[in-house]
Amino acid sequence: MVTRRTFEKELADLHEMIVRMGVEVENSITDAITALIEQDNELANKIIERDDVIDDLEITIEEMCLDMIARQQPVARDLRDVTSALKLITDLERIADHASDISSKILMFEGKKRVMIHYDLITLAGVAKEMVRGALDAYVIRSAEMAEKFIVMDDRVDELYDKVKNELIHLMSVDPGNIEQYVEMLFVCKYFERIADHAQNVAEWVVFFVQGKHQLS
Amino acid sequence: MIRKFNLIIAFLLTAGFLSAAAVSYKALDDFNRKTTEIRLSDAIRLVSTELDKGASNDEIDQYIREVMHSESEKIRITLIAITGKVLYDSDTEEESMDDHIDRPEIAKAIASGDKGVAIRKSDTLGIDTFYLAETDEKSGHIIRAALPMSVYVSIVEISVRQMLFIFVAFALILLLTGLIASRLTAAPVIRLKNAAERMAEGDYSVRIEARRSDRSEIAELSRSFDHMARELEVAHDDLIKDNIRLDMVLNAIENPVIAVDDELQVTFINKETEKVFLQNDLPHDKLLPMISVIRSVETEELVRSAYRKDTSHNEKISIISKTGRRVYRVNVSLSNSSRGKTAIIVFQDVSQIEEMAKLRSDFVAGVTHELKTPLTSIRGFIDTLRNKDIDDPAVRNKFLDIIDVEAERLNDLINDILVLSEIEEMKTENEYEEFDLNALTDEVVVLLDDEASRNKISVISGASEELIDQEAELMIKANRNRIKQILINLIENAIRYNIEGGKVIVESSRPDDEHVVINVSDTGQGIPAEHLPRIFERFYRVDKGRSRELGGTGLGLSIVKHIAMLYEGSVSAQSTPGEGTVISVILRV
Repeated sequence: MVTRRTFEKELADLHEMIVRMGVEVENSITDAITALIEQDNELANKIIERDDVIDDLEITIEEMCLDMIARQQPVARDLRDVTSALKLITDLERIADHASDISSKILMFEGKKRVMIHYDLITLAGVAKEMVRGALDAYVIRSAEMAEKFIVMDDRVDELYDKVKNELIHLMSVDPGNIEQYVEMLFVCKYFERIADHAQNVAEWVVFFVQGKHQLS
Repeated sequence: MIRKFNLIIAFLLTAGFLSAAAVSYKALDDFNRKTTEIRLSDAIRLVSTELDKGASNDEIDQYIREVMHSESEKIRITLIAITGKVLYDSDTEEESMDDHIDRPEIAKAIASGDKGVAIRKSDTLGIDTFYLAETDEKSGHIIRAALPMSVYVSIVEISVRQMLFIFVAFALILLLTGLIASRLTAAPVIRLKNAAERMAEGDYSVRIEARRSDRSEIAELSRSFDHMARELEVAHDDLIKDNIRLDMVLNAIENPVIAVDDELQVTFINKETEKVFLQNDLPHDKLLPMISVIRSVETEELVRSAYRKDTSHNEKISIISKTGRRVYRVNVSLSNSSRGKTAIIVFQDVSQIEEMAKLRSDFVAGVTHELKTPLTSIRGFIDTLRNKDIDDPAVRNKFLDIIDVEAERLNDLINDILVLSEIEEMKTENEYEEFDLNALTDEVVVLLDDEASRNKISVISGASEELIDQEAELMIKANRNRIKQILINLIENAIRYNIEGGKVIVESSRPDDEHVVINVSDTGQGIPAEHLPRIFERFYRVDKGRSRELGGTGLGLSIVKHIAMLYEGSVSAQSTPGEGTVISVILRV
């Protein structure tokens, strides 16, 4: 019984660590959007610095998981809990990487006469951010239902991505002088789209954890 | 308990009956055997007497039929020689019968020289039969009497059946009385149990109300229970009232407030917290870690430190809210409760205060910068004129022209700042006159005609025939100079930031008796979405270099906004990149 209680405590700590990592990731995305709109280089540098913190968190959580598997040999639901945590943090870490990539692009814009940021790109970034938060909330309350809600949101992101992409292609043809910036902007857009994909993965891991099945998309 | 009691009774009853039945069956059986034996023995004696008289087989037959055959039973008599040969039988022809020496009753009778008893299936008749054989002393033959067992069995069967009937009747009566009795004693206990269960489910209005005349222990217990229920109900109601009051107060507070225990699990959040920090609804009935509500590791650290040092903490922290990153003054105070310490955390949004402070310093920096740029230019040209011998009057005049333009710009800027501070200080407009807004618009358009034609921009306005919906006359009552200021600033902007050969449309209308709307639209390059919310700020420029080049002071739209606010109105901007911008001003006049 004591061992079980120790295990439950360790699980609760693990969940909290994951949410903590998620919070750092959310901070990075929020700041990336602000830095992009306001061309805030200081903020962009902060995001790149934060990436190290998130990497460290990933390693810590990974060690926690492996330690639990080695010492407690969890089965059934407990095993799902630990394995989904292992998979989920990889996605969170990738999201943080993308936020960091976006920041590098923002720094590249420095000193140039900025082209306009497409309104739909901002919307897309907002939806991606909402998905990350939503997937984490679903993880906190173990709700497959809530997770599903954010899984389907990815379709909207794909739609917006196509729209922004076409718009950027059009702009490249009419304003070839700024083609380099448009290309970078397309990268930024792609990174946000990837962030949404990873958020979708996180939500799918939540569904796997709750229901024990994992649909591959 | 009651069921067990009933089971025991049933068990004892059955055991009692079975033993009684066994004993009486045995007694009945013994008695039956005895009487049968006696009857058969009597029959033998009678036959023996007849034989003594020297009666023939036919006479004995006659005699037996008369004396020993009744309707229900027929005693069978057999006369057997000592050799085993059947000499006579009352039921069968003697000749057909075999040797009887090996029949157990005959063998016993011969062996003892007295009598033998056996109960067995008859070989001749094939039915269960009771046999008694006795040796007739005078003739030396053996006389055997037999009676079919069916008679005997039927008597036992009848008695057993009767006994069973009595048993079942008694068992039923006993069971019934047992049930009723146990119900009667158990009923109050069951009622007490049900009431306690309902109370456990939260229904404190439950009462048992034992009869006043009832003095039993259970009735006393029920009365105590009722008393307890009454006290609990009052206490519970008070608690709910207190809770509602607390909820009301905490939810009415316009700051997010949360409470967390020493393991940093959220025990309470108010409505404002949900509004500000929660993107998705989280369940209320579950403890959640604080980090899942307030997305800030710094806040978590602050609360942890408050618990560690056992004091209140207060810090400015930047936290992601639903509307993005904002700065909060986070106040953590600890309070003692029955379940240990609770931290109450209040969040005060100070972003606006910070923004205001930044705006003010921006303004000072802006004014200084805007004033210094033309001044530097003027002093530079004056120096050049003074120090260098410039003989060419054309060059000298060009320099003087530049100085003039820069002085003009300084003048504009100071005028704008004066206008702005004048409007800002005013609470309400104090000068009113009635005039035609369309006529005023046309006047302004004429004023700006030079600038418009320089850029080949056509301005469509006021009573122009191109605007079909426009009323010929739009009388309003306001300060004419201020409205003129709005129109100059808006139309000037629309001309300046237009493309060559573009168009500016000024439309005014009255959506209702109290308001007037002025829309100024252009066909310029538009304003990017991210700049839109800030264009009404002082010195805010979408494109810093270009704007100054075009001669703006950076205060135009800010003045428009402040005049609109003076008239309890508002300004808004809509822009489609590449197509143009529409600025709308709503005034209450």
